[in-house]
Amino acid sequence: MSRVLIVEDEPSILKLLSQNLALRGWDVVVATDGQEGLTQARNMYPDVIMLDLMLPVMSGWVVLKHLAREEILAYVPVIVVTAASREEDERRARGLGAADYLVKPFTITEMLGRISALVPARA
Amino acid sequence: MVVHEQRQFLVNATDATMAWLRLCVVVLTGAALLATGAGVSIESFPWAIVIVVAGYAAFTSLPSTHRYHLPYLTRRFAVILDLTFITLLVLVTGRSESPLIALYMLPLTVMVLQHGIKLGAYYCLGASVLNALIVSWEPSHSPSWLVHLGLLWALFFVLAYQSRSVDTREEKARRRDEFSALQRAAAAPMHMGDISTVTEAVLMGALGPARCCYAAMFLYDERDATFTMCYSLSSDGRFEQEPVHVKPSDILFRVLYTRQPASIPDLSSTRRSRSSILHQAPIVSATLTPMVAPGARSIGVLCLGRVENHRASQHELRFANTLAMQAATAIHTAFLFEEAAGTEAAKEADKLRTQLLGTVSHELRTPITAIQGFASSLKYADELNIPKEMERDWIDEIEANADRLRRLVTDLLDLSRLEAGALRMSLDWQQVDDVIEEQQGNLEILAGGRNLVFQTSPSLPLVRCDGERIGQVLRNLVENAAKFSSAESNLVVGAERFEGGVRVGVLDEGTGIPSEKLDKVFERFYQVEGTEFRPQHGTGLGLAICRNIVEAHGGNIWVESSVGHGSIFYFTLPSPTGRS
Repeated sequence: MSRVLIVEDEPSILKLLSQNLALRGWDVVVATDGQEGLTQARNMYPDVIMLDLMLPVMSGWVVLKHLAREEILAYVPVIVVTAASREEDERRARGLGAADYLVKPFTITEMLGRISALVPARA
Repeated sequence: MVVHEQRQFLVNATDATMAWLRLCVVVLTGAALLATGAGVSIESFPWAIVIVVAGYAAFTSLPSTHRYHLPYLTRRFAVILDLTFITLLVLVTGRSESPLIALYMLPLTVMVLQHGIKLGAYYCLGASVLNALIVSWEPSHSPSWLVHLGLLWALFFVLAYQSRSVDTREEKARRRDEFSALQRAAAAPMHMGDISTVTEAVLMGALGPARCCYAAMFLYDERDATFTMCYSLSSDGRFEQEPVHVKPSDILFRVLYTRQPASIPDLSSTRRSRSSILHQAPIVSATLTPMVAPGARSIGVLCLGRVENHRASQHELRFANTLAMQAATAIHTAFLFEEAAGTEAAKEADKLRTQLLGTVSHELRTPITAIQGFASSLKYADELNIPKEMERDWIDEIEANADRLRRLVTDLLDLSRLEAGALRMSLDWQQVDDVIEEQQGNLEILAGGRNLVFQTSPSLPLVRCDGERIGQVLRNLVENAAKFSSAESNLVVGAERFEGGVRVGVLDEGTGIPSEKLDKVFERFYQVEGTEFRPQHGTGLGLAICRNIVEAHGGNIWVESSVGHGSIFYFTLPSPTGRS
């Protein structure tokens, strides 16, 4: 079973992502701010991380930078899930090591497609 | 008129002094004649001479003479007349033995000290030749006249030496002053950006070396072809700036268009200068120089004024011209600075707008994502065998997010209309406690079971307010207070008399706001970072709307808070009659 870490502060979006992925057999871990997200990532070693950029305590950008510096976590693919739709944001996020960039709003099919493209060998 | 002003005439305060001196000469001569008067009858020739000289002296001593008639009486001509009259006096009072030869010394002194060494030398020479002629006709003469002439020349040399050393000293001091004035004008825009400080610095420098008591700058706007502002500085240190209206016939325009400096020795002498705006300034004479900035841009006219009659020398004109050029450059630079600052501000506003747009789009995208996401998830409901409760929950989520979207759009519209001033308040005379009472039901729902207490006093002054809008402020504040405090805490809504109006306060016992964030909470989409709670139903616009509504009533809104103990939001409604 593959494990996904969702870092998102909007309860609705968090519920949407976590329930859909859980129903499809993912092991879901959640965090509601950047600091907690980083701690969870270090503890749980997820197969993929879904990260919002606008987060309280520690922003998604900072989390991305920290993840890139960690020995093992640097290889965990990160999907940035954000409302920031500007191209330069996407370029910057990819420059910081994001594997994919998912702009809100998105459909469930799109989300599932992106995540399975990154983690093909799931349970 | 122009030619009239530009010729070098004997129109000067010092010439009046000369005239007084002439009067003294006449009186002294009369006295001398009376003293030696034996044998000189009243209708004799010497008396006629004295009377003519007295007439001339009296005529030239009147100030109005200098103003209207002296165009024909140049300085050189006056010197010749002085010489002639004194020689005649010498002639009639005893020729070579006359003690009146000493009278030559009085005009000489004034002449050397005030008009320069050259004129003094001519005067001495003339006196010597005339006396030599008188004596040569005399069969027997005493040598005392030679002594007198010797004394005259000695006096001339002493005066010449004196005046030269004074000149050099003054020259040095003036050069120093001029240099520092120019330096000041050049340095003015380096430290201070805005135009009024730059002009003040330049004018302050101009007063010293130009020896004037009034300096002014008339700034010109090339686009409208009018003078816009006048900055003036008097020697008592009073700096004034005022908008001006200058008639097209004014002498200022001539200086500006011809780009030639002008010196007006007496502002009341011609009709044109009398009708000039300069005539309203506390000055008698003025030196005007055009201020031309790089790129041949006309900046305005620099005016240096004095309270006495004065015609500017070539040197003074040159200095005024250089100063005007320097001042023009300084003001031009200040203009450029201001323009640059304007562009900077526009850029900043643009950046803020982009930022706001980003935030708004983010706030809109979140509920849309939830709605779209849950709706598309529901399509797989059968396929994935989703439990009924979860399905129900998702539908609730869709509804809640749609509601959030609706509120956001309403709030955004409200706020933009409030900020544009398009939302009119329908102001009525109201009792604030009536407004609160009206909202009581709504507020209790928003308090969500917290202990809501109302504290109003019955003797509050009437205020003019829009009951519905003030109700909206109250609802927003109570909703906010409930959001950030625990379920069993107290909420208080109170109203009291305050500075002639009414102050309404909403108190909570919630998390509180750090002091450095107190002002920011009223900004759009601002949320205090680090708070655990992320409001599901907040749009981030409530307090911004409150502030706009209260300010539209002429009131203030602010918050007092201590972290961990709670906050009080206050707003005031002024009452025009509440001062009783």
